[in-house]
Amino acid sequence: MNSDFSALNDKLSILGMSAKYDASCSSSGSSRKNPGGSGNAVAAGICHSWGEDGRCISLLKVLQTNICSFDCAYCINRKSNDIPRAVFSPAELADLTMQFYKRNYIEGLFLSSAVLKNSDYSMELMLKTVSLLRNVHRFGGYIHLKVMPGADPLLIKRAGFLVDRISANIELPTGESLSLLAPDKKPDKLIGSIKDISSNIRESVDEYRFKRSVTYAPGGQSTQMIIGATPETDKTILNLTESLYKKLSLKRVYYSAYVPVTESSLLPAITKPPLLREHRLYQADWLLRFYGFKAHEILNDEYPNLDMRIDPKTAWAMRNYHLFPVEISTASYEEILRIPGIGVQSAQRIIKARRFSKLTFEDLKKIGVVMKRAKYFLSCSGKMMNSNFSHDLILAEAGGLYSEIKISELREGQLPLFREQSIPPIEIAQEI
Amino acid sequence: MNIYVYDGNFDSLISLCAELIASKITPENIMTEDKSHGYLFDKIYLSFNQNLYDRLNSRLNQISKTAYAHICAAFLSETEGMEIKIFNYIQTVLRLSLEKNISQQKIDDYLENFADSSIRELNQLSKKVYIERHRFLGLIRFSELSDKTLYAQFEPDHNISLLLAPHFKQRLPKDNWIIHDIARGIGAVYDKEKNDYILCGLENTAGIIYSEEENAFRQIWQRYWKEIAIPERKNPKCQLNFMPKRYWKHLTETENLNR
Repeated sequence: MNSDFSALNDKLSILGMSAKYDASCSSSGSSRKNPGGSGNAVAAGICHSWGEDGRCISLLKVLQTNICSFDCAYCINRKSNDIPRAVFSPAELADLTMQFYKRNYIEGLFLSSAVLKNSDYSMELMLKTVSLLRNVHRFGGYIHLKVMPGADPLLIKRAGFLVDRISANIELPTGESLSLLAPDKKPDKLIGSIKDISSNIRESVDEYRFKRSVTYAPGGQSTQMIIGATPETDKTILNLTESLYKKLSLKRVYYSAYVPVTESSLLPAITKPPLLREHRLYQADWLLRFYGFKAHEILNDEYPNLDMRIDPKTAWAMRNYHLFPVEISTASYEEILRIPGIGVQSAQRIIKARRFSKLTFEDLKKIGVVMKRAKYFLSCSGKMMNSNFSHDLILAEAGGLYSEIKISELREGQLPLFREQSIPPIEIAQEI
Repeated sequence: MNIYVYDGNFDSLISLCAELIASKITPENIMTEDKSHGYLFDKIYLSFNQNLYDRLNSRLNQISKTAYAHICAAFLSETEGMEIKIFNYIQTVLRLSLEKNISQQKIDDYLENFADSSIRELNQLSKKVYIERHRFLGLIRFSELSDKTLYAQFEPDHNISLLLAPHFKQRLPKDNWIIHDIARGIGAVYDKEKNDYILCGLENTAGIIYSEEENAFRQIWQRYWKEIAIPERKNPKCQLNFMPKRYWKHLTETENLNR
């Protein structure tokens, strides 16, 4: 490698390391056509690789610079942290993106930045990079741009017309936590940016109805918050998530389990990031987005935190056992969707298949229902599958792992299968 | 026992299915000559019939374009026993279309009835193929050759070159590129002057000459790939789940790690 390349290599290493704690890498939601150069976007998104942490690598996730004038306690790039610093020139980063893209390493660019000088200055640098890609390289691949905290609304407006997805980090679940850990970031300004973006998207959609115009961030808006650095309950987090989806029409809310990158008296002394909690929150997030659940059904004052031992849908079903069993031959799609062990695809297949014949347990299994889970919650033509339930069987099914559950949490007699005070554990990787 | 043997071409399989259905024969199995060596007797050869092929082919397209696409994908799976699944599926589709007063909507709905085994089995095959296609939209790795051609080798489980090529034609129309299925000795070769690709037999070549910059970008990507993982979240099981080891050989980022 000659010295130019070796300098580029070091720079990408520094600015990749500084970007990696951002959760999102999604390249979905946009179907941008190739503008006559290189690249297009595919609505479903495409993962190109997976790192050793099992996270998908879809976009070149990198910072324009990691030189920062802010000092947020949870952040690796805070100005008081002693790490190597670097800046990409817009041309350099645009070229590198094209080189990676044509080799099919990546689906596009996820560009974020630390606050060099001030928010607007860094934002302008990023816009230069993106504009080079779109207008000089005629690049049609996916671009996700992170908005700088408190950036000028005009810059935010310009950015959205160049990129596929745009996001502003909400950072922490409450304003109090934010003021404590990130004194340079103003909660009302962060929310202000999110609101600006959401009204830009709405306007552009309205205009689109009348005439053909450029769409503002066709892949929508997302945001991210850190989980486990501050004392909020899952209920607070999930309620916030719900209002971001409902009131501000966000496409995705990402949770990022707090990784201790620094020692501070303001931060909890943990050694491992709360990955299981993050996973449960994502499961609950899916219930909000695809399963017709409301946040208050999943968590309330009586149950302010998600149960780490079981997925939130099963937990909900156990608390509401009076709604079960659901009869497969007559129940609505929405009811079927709420049965543990049945996902969106299986529910749709059931609705289609039951028009032609009465479905049996065997049919359900072949359709893709996880009967191991679902059998306690459904009936076919009035019959339930499981009459001779055995505790040992459940244990065997679960591979010998199981957790205890407090029987007092369940109303007496409602849940015969759990009389033994044990439940099958749910594999962490299992989808709801 | 009646085992029907065909030459491995899609057209021949369709012609054979048409002939069996027309003569109301239910075959025990359908397979290619090389797979039928274990069977000495009861092998039946039917020659290609252009007329029957044309009729069934256009009939299927007419009934449902989606069904036809599923049949093609199932064929490309190249899995054992796919022929008889295709035969059963075609039978179901035809029977359905002959029902009295059946609406297009009802046909489309029935084709998604997974309680019917002929439909489920074919859909499962086609899904496998499309899942692998989607994987390789991401996992194809091009290297830049000295003449700037982008060249990728890969070894998919199913014969998906034909399904990948249109994607890369849209994406990289200004570069010459080749995706080379080295397991099957075939490839899609795209010519930017003609703005089109052809699918053809390609021999494996030892003398590949890369562009001057190629090695530098490989190294930069390899280091980035390694460092982007968060050590506190290490989860190789999850990584392997999405990116099985059998693909690593042809990935730029894992070329030195594969063992």
